[in-house]
Amino acid sequence: MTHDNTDTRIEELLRYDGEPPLGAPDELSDRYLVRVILEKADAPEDDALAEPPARSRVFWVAAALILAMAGGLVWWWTRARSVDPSPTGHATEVLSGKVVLASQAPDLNPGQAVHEGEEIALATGLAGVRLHPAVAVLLDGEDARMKVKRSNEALMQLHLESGRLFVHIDPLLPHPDVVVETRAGSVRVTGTVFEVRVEPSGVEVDVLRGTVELHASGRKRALSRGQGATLGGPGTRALSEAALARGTRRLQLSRSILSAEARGWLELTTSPPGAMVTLDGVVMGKTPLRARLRAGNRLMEVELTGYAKVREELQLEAGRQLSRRLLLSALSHRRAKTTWRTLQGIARATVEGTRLGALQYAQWASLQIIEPKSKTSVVSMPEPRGAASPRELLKKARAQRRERDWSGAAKTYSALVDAYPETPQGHAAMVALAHLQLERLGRVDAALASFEHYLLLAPRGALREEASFGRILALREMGRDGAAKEAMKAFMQAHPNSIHVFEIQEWLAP
Amino acid sequence: MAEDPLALARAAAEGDATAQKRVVLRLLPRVRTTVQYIVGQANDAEDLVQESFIEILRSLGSYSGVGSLEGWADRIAARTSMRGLKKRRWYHRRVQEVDELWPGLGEGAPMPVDELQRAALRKRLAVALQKLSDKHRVAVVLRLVHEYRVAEIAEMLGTPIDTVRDRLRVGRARLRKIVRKDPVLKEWVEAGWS
Repeated sequence: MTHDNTDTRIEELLRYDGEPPLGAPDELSDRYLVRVILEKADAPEDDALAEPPARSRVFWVAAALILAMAGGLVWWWTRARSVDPSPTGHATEVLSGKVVLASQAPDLNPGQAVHEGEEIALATGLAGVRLHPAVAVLLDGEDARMKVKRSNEALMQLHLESGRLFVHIDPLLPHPDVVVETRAGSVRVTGTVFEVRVEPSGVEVDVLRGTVELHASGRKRALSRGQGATLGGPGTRALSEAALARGTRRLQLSRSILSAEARGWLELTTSPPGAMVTLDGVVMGKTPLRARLRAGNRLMEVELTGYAKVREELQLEAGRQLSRRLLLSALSHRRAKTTWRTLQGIARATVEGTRLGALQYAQWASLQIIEPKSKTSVVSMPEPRGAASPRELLKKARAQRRERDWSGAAKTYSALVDAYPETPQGHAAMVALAHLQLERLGRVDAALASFEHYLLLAPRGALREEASFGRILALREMGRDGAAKEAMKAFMQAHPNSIHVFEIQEWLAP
Repeated sequence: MAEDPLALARAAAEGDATAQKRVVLRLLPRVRTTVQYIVGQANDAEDLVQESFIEILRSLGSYSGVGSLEGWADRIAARTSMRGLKKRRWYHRRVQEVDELWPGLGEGAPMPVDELQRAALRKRLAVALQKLSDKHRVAVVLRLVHEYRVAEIAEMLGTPIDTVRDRLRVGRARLRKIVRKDPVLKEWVEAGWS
């Protein structure tokens, strides 16, 4: 054997031919991966933004140290004083159905702590419980019961009496070893995703990610990704497509439980809208704004030309949404009377987010708005349109999108739709506006109306496929399952070669 | 007909969701291959594949059309994997413990030659690659898997050409030794079957 021969053989084997060396997950997982990537790539998360300047980082490191010391002190004080074991800090989140703690009569409330030694029983539905920042479980099945026998930073011991337990451990975070005990044996892991089912015929284990150890009948063996086995039984089996599909859906739920731990939502609207928002000195965008942010104390600043700057300390709680509505104070009373000029279109007047009415103009017209004297009412109007062409407006909207100024872009699209409703650019803007409303601004009902508006106005439009698919997304988001199903069937018939077909097939699958 | 990569990248950079999806589907096998060879753990690799694509989609505006979209993505995937390796070394230690506890899994007794498929051999080689240091492994993967020239790798990693050349020389020599110590890979090299 020569070195050359070894090198040639190695090169032959390693050369890229489209097949990843460790294999690819099943198609369903890939679809899920694509979806997550697209969502995360566009999500207005603050950690996606530029790093803060060095001085600010020093400040935060110092703040973190002080907080850690304070936390340690509080922990020591609590432990020194407490007689009964203190709550282990398990946050619970009931996804659906009715969940009860065996030791307590009342139903379990979202956010309620589960103590070590507590038994969780499920009346109906599906319970999602975050047992640790890196460990989430989903419990379901008839008369499902589990007990948290032990829980500390090194070991989490769960006992599953009956039902199905889906366990998700995030391997990228520090986590305890997890043991799930059942009547037939136990499953031990160090970082993975798996499901244990207690059935009359035996205890079944399915592994979706990583590797687990099975301990039963005095012997132990390993089970890895894509495999299933009966505890105490011989051999292994490959997971069926149905099991993988169910696992993928559950993974999505458990991920949402885990990710809810460290982040909260901020929903901010201002009157008038369009104010620039910065959080801890980092620009987040213009109002109205909805963003997922790190939990904790954050300093928010809101600025709009002609109005007083607002500074506010926010306390963002993990997994919760904080809604703020700010009424900006005008710096000058000269703005009390404002004249707006519009070019052939619609001017809208709103007070405190409530639409008062719309005025249609055929030609140049002027509209006088007099600010009401009431302190809490401010009349806002869309920016007056000049004689911008549809092309210029589209260009402006694209630039705003690049700047992630979603509300500004929506405003521009809206102006384009109003001014040139019968042009191809107006039609394109309708669909673009609908997507923004759906994906960026959280205005699902408005998005549905925009998609339907386009489908009505452009029966042979080039964007029918996108608009129809968008309509399906909006209906699903609104929970209108029956209408969504009908729309999906119609979509499959009208666009059998669409890129969205595989997603729709998955949604239509029982 | 092959899609124009620059037009696709621009559409995706402007927020066209369909174009973004096409970019991901087009690059997925390639990025996954790069990350898996560098990281060596399928589960961990999936998270880094995700991170690579988030970075790719967010940076698409900087793709100028010079060079292939795949090459541009390889650079990001390699850098993301390197960052991931640094951040998650503690996790690899845990996974290795599991592997050591269960030597029968994956690494087991040599499989009969006639049952080994190319995929199984490649998997074995990918696992063997993990015995190289991170820097040597990245250089070897970019050279042998994606067949980049030394100068290209140097540019991708922001490392001097001589350093890359040295890493390749050492990495290949170590890989040869590792392959010759592995009974299955050794037999495959000597017997000439595939």
